[in-house]
Amino acid sequence: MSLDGMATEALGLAAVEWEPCMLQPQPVEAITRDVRRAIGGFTPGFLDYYTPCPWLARQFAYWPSTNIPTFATPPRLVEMLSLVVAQDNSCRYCYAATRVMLRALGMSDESIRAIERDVATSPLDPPTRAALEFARRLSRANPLPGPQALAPLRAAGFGQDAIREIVYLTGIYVFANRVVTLPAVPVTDVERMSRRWWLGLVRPLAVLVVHWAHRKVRPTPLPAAMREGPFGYLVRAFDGHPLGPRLWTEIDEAWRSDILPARTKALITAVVARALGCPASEREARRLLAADGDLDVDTVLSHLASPTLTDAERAIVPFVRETVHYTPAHIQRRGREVLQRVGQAAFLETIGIAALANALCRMGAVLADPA
Amino acid sequence: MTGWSVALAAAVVAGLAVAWWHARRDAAALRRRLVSAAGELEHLQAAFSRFAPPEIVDRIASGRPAPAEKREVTILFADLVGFTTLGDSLDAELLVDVLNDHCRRMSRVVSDHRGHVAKFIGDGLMALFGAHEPNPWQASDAAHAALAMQAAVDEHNAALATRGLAPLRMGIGIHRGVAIAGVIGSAELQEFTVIGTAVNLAARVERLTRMHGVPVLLTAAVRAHLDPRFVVRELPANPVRGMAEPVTTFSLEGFAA
Repeated sequence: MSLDGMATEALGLAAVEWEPCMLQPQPVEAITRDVRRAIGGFTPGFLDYYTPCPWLARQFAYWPSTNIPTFATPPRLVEMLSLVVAQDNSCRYCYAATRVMLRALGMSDESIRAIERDVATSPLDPPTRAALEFARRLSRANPLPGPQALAPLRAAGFGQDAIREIVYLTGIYVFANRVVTLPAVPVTDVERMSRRWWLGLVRPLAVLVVHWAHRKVRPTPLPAAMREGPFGYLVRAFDGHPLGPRLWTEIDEAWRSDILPARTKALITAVVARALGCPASEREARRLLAADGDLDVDTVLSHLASPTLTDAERAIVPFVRETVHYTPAHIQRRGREVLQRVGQAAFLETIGIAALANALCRMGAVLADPA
Repeated sequence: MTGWSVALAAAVVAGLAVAWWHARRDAAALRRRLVSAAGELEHLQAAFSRFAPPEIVDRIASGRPAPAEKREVTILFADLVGFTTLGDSLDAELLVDVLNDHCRRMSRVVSDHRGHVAKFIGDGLMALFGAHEPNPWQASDAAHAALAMQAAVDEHNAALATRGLAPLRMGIGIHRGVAIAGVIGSAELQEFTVIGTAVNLAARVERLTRMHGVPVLLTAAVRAHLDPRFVVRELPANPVRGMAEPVTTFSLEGFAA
C-alpha cells in the first residue's frame, strides 16, 4: 500500500461501517442535462440515485464548493470546513471528495491529517482554527449553539459576510453529509479517487477554477419575492449576499415538491427542531402546520407517534429524529426499513427534507432571531 | 591527478547517494510510524467515543481539561438477581463466559435504543440516555431498552438451557433527573459518568424490583415523560435511603404498539 493509501486508512473513516447502497440508479435525461449545464459540463456520479426526487437531485448536484457563491471566505477554508463537518458526521463520501479538492488545492496530506486529528492543536492560523472549531460545534449541535457562538469568529477578524458564509457552508455540508449517508451511496470510487497520484498535476487548473468561481460572486440584494416563505426569517438573515437567493430557492423547491404532503414536511422539520432543541425552528414548523387542524402536534412531538398520523408518517416520524445524531451503519439500516414502507421517491424526499431541516435549524440557531 | 580526482569525486558522489538513500529510507520509515500512530490514535478516539461525548474525547485526546456540566438524563440500572449464588456453583471460566455473553447482549440492546452503557458493576450495569447528546425522548428510549433487555435475557436463557445451565433473572430500575456529567477519576483511570441524587435513586429503584417481585420499575419522573402506549402499574410507595419522602414506583409491563 502507498503511504497515501496508508494515510487514508489511518484516518479511520475507511473503517466506518457503511451498508450497501439501498437505491437503484435511475437516469433521467432532463435532470442530467440541467445539472450538466449548471455545473460546467460534467455529471456527478451520484446523480442518478436521486432522480426520483428531482429537487434533491438538482440541489445536491450543486453542492460542490465551486458552485456555492462565496467571496469572503478563502477557498481553502471552504474545503477545510467541508472536511471537518464530513469527518464529524462520519460521511465517507463527502470526506473523500473533500480530500480530493484539498489535495488539488495544494494542501499536503500532513496538513490534512493534522486538522483531522485535532483542530484545536493543529498548526493553523487563529482565524482558520476559530472557523473550524465553530463549524465542528455547529455540526455536532451538542448542545445546539446560539448566536453567542459567533463571537470567536468576530474576534478572529471575520466580517459579517464571511460569518454568514461560514454558517451557510457548515449548514449545507450538514445537509450533504446526510443526503449521502442515509441511503448509503457507494463510496468506493470517490475513495479511490482521493488516492490518485496525479491529483497534484491538476492543481494549477483546480486553483484557477476555484479562484475564478470565487471572484465572480458579488453581493446581491434579496428580491422582495424571496423575503417570505418557509424559514423566511433565516433567508432574510442572508439579505445582500448571493447565498440568500440560493437558500430561498433550496427551501422553495423542497417545499413545492409534491412527493410528500406539506404537512409531512413540516412535521419532519418540527421533529428535527425538537431533537436539536431549537425552539425558533420548532415554532416555524408549527406555523407551517397551523393550517392542519387534524394533527395533534403536541402528542407527535412528545412521543413521536399519534393516531392522527398517516401510515407513511408513522414510519417517517420516528426515523427523522435519528438524523440529528447518528452512526452511519445504524441509520442506514433504519433507512432501509423506511424505504421498504414508503417507496424510493418518498424515502428520498424524507431524507432531503430531514437533511434540510438539520441544516436550517443549525443555521437559524446562530444567525437568525425570528422575534 | 585526473584519475585520482575522478575516483575521489565518484567516491564522494557514491557516499552522498548512499547517505541520501538511507536518509530517505529512514524518513519513509518514520513517516510510516507516524501515520500508523496517528491511525491508532484515530481508532482509539473512535472507540472511546462510544463511552463519552465527542467533545470530551477531543479534549482528552488533546490534553485539555474536560468540563463537567449538569444534564437532564435518564439512568437505568440493571442487576442480575441471585447471580452471586449461581456463581458459587459454577466453574470460574464458565461463569465469566456467561457473564460476558450477558454484558454483550445488554450493551447491544442499550445502544440500539440510543443509550450508552456507562459502566459494568460486577453482574450489573448502569446505562445512560441523554447523557452524550440531548434527547427529548430519553424516557421512552430507556423504557423500550428495558423491555428489550428483558427479552434479550429470555433469549439468553434459552441458549443457557441447551447447555444445562440455570436461567438468569434481571431487575431494572429507571429514573430521570438532573445529574452532573463529567470525566471522573485519576490520571491513571478516568471515566465519563454521571453523579448525583438522581443516580443514587435509580440504583435504589432497581433494588426495589426484588421487593415488589417485578422485572422493571420506573419512577414518576420517568412516567411523566413516557409514551402513553407503555403499560404501567402503580405500586405502593416505599421508603428509600437518602430520600425524605417514600418513593412511588411503577411496574413497566409492556408496550401496546
